Amino acid sequence: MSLTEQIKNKFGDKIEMLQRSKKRIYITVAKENAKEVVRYLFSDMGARFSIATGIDNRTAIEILYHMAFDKNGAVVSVRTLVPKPELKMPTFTDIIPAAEWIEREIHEMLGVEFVGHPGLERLLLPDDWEEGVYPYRKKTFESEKENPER
Amino acid sequence: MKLPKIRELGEAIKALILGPYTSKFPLEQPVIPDGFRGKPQFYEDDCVGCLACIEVCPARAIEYVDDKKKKLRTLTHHQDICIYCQQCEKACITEKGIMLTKEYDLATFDRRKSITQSKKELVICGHCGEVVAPIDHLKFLAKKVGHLLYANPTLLIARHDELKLLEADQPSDSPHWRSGHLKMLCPNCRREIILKEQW
Amino acid sequence: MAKEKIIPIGPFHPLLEEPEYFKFFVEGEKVVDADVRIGYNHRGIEKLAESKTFEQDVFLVERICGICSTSHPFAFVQAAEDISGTQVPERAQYIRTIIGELERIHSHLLWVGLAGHFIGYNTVFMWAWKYREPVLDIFEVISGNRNHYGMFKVGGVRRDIKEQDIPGLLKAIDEVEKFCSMLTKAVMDDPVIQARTKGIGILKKQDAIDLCVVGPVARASGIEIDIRKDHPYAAYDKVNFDKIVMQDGDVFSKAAIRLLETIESVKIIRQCLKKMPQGPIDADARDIGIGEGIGQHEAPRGEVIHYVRSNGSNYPERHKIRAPSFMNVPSFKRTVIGQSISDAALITAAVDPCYCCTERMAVVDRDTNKVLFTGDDLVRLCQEKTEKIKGNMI
Repeated sequence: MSLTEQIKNKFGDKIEMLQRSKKRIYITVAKENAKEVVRYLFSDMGARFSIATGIDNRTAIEILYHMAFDKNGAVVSVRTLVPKPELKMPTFTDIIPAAEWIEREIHEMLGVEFVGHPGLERLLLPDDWEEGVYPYRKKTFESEKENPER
Repeated sequence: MKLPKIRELGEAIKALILGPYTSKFPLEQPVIPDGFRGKPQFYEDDCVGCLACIEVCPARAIEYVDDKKKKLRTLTHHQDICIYCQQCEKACITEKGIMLTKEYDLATFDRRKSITQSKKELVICGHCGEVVAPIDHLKFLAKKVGHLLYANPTLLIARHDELKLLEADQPSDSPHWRSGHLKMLCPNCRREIILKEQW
Repeated sequence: MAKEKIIPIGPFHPLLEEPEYFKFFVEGEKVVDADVRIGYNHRGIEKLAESKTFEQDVFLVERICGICSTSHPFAFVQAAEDISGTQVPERAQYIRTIIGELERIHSHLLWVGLAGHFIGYNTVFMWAWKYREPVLDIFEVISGNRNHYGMFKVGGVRRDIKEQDIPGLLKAIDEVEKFCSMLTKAVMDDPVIQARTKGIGILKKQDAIDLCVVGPVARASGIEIDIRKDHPYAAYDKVNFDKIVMQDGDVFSKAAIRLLETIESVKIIRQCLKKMPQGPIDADARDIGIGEGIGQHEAPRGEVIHYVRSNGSNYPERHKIRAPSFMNVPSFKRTVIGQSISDAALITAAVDPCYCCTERMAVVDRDTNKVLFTGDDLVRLCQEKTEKIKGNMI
């Protein structure tokens, strides 16, 4: 059974799968089911957690979890949308201890709160950085022009 | 323990005889291979002032200033910001306007001296006074398109400067007369004269 | 009841290439807890990359690190080619492989030299760095620079390797191989180094899987991952080489893996130089298009992964960069606890941290805030233990 068939059999309707090529698979899943899908990929199918990416969509914040399958040569990315303005997401550190640092970075750069994280403090920004200023967010059209440098 | 020690002893004797790897700079100058990335230099005879190097520079090390009164465009390259990536040389449309030399000894006490410049004469619109282009850029384009330049008044006037049509002599609030077709105009005025000429 | 003392190691230490701040809590001679702070060199490169075009971005990511300066462009151009589906010509794939492997040799030689200095063998330091120079001279002939080569481009490479240079390059590679094999045998046969580094700082296999470590740190603990063989790219599927895996997980395995990898790299370079076909070196890609892509590369320190999302304009919408040390450095917490203070610095350095945030070392008494040992004193402590072991053996 191939990778995509195995994942589809287990989760059925809860996910939407998009296969861009033989090695790149993107799965979109709702916020409530994300932890279950990632736990299945990490513990039961034996994938390795590469990294997580946070992107500002202007309506929500997308978080992608990239899981690498070294035996098949594929990378599966699990995408969830965290709606603004609540921005709360359950932490993944109890199933993947390696996610501790990247959740701290997404918290300080985009403002997402990971509920249940053992120590959600600053990783990269200095101690005297202002509260409420999130560097990786995009500017909205009403406020300033985008990329005034250009 | 004996055999490893003999192997390392052989290496030690070789190091003692051959000496250190470093050369005695500045008494001996090093050998520079071809394709070395040294200091970039503007060559004013070949530069046409088209600003392609400024578009591609990743570090924004080249800047330009237009002076409409003196009709001069000055391009300045700052060597203390440059990252020696050679993109300006690859993007230059004449391929010889800015090139990387083999100079590596660039330390200096005064930052303002570590620049290289190219000054180009500008052509001004005869109707509104805006900048059109450097005269060398227009001549380069005229040579490149060959006989097709006779379809474009701007290139025709630039190529045949013996006709003496480059001077601006009409103020900008006067209407467009038909004779204005054979005057050096910027693209906006060129469009207006085609639509609104009076005769 | 012993008083708990904090030993900070950071930001600028001669062994660590970048500033980080390690804090060790000791009781007597044993380390009971450890903590790390990073962020001293954060430059905002991910945000800066959104205001530069894709071509200018290649030069920007090259300057993230000086030692592994080819790894980041390698992963980035593969991510951009993943979005647009560009096919890179074959000669360019071989040239990319040669540059990547040459960089692996000079990065491992640099680490071996620093580790040798730390243990107390200054001769290893001097010789390893002396034999790094021919590798940098090879780079100067191929690309014009000793560091930050500027060879990568979306769709190919920028400069070609001329045919008349290849015999000279093959001869220079033979010289490098002679030294690398001598150094490997000298280090692995030496009984003092074995007594000093075997059994120190063990990372168990289950911990390595939980913390998702990459590179030589993972291969030293028995996890068989190597991006060059698992997710093949460039010319790695056309050459023969071995994956080097050991089971112990201590400092000796990590050093041995790095030394044996240099010999594999020389094999790869020789095969590539002989097999390279003629042809174009650039696919002349113009448009990137709308989409998202992922690029990976096996850097000297582990897996580098870049994620790029493009919205159809000339500028990327999001560019995520993950260097290998981001996953490797948190593993020091599990390896250092229970070891003695004179081994602490050596264990931290065996991870080969290369992430622009490391710091100086100092030992401070928590109660009185007096500096007990400085960074040089900690290095001296480590070297003194080696002398003691040597004295016991002879």
